[in-house]
Amino acid sequence: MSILASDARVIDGTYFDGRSARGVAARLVACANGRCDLQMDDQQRCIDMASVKVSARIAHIPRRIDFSGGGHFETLDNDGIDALQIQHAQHPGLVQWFERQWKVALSSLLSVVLVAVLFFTFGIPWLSQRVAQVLPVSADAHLGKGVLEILDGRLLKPSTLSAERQYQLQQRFDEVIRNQRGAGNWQFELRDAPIVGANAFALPGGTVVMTDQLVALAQHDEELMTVLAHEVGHVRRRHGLRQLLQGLGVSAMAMAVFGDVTSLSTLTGVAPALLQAGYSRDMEREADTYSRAWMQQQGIAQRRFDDLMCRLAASHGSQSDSKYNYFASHPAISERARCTQ
Amino acid sequence: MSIDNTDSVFDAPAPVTAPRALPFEFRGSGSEYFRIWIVNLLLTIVTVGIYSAWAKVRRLRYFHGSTSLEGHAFDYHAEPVAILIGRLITVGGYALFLLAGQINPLLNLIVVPLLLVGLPWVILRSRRFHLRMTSWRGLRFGFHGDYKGAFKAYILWWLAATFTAGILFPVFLQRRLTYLLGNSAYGSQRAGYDVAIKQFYAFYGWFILKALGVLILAAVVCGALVATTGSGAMGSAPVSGTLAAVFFVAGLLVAGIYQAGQLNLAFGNLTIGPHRIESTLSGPGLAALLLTNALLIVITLGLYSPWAKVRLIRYQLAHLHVIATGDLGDFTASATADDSKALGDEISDFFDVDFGI
Ligand SMILES: [Zn+2]
Repeated sequence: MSILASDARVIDGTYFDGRSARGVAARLVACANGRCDLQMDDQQRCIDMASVKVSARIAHIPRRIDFSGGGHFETLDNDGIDALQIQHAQHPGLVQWFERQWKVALSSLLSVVLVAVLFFTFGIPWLSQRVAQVLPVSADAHLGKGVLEILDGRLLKPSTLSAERQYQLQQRFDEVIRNQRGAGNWQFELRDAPIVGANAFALPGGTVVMTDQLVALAQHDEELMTVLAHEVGHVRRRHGLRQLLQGLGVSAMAMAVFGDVTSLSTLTGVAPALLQAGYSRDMEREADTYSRAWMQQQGIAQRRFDDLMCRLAASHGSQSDSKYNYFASHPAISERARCTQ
Repeated sequence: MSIDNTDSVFDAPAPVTAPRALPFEFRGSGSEYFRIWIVNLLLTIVTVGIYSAWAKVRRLRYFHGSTSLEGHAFDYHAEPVAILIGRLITVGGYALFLLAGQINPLLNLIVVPLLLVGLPWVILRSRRFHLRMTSWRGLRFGFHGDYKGAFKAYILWWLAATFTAGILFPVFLQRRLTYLLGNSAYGSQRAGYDVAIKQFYAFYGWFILKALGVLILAAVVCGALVATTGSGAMGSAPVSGTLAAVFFVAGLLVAGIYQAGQLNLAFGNLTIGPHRIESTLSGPGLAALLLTNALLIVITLGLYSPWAKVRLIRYQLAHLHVIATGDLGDFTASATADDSKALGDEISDFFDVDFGI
């Protein structure tokens, strides 16, 4: 029955011989035994459909039939060509069917979003950890190199603590790293930081910086040691390197999705920075866990960490709209420490 | 079977001598491209990237096929497998390089010279691949640039521009465009690109003046904003957000002026036989389009990007015309068209980078 219907089918188009850009109005008429007639002006050619190459259908764009001896036929009648292919037992292809269905497009969209979210939450952190394991420890030190010099010029000033107190704190730091066999090139730095306020941070490779303001906030040296253990945790878990690798992963993902929209290159640079905040929360939790395990091992009360964290939260809370909000990328204080008041 | 005896083609239209402007028509739509884009994306993810070669062919066939001149659409002929092999070679080469650096860090030292020597070759191959895979009315485009030309234009002139602190940058650009465009061909007809260095200096001079003007204007707007809200509000989120937005818009405006000017300078001076191309993009127009595209993409969390792409192409093509003198059917195929089958040329999709304008 379909043979009768498509028998009468006439496909209008243009024939090009491939030697000149001059086209000739032509029509393709299906006839029997896997053959078609190509009719042009005053001549007619019989074509074996098994010897030609029919281009895949993509949306509305013209279809082309390439003849084995050179030259091609071009037409906008996509449905006509589809019918012809079916008649000659050729499959029009699955992808072109996908592209024509809104149902498929929308379920693809859902699947892509799902895969992207899964990859973002589990894939990238896992991958970056694996890659970090492969990279040598010297890579961390390379990352941290020069960072302190930059900060010293802008945000940090030499410590105003007495030489005696500085020596004391250095001893405390040495106690914390005593059992860290071989990992990192440990270095302890004290700085006055009027803008940043009470804080401590670790650079990849092993440099730990603590501000005078944090020292002033502490009521017991053990409190400071718990924070130092937290920073050592960042170094040991190689958070700096992993953060860089995760940033690369997010950028690669953004490129894969929006790569063909070139005007977006600025956007794909910004998005990773925004998404990074989520990862750094996980890393803070990891460093907290490291610190608490260390306290347990050393027989230091867990409340030392809680006390300092709560005091820190209170002191930063009074200026919470500040640009340098310590807790911007950190987990909520209620989650990290038990505050008594 | 073959079809010969093509002497009896329709009579060619009587030769038209007066130049006439022919528009590029674009029939693509965002809703069509959205479906192609999302299916491409899903299949690429499912196949761990392997499908990306097929995705690229479908994407380019869609955009080429949606663009027509004098009623005939362009087409793209690359075989996905060739693109896949090119990509595998690239990834393999990169992995090899990383591995070599691990084994002996001294090997890293030869990377820069290797890049300097290899880059012109990659540019030449990518350009040739892209043009040979593009056709219109049954004739392929082509590229006749050689390695020496690419090395001079891309490496020597780039080094000269760098070491003169950018004074020779317009010359570098002129050499680059002359290499890329002047070596292009349609069928057997070589394209012509003959623009004096003077014009490039004029373009850059004007561009720098305009960019400075835009930046000064942005600074004045920001200054006024801070003055009206009081200097104490500087740190507050709404004010600093507005300041950032002003500079983002200014940056896009500068980018639009640059891109539009460069495209006009490139395509607007291209000739193919008796015909020439006219490009009339406007900087602020392009900037407005880039801005609205970026905003809509952010608002829709990226969903708008297929529509954004279609809008951008449609806008660019609407400002491009062929000023035809005589019949566009007079072009003939290149005698050496068959050597495009050579293996080296089929596999040229290195880095998936179009070294375009
Ligand atoms: Zn931390």
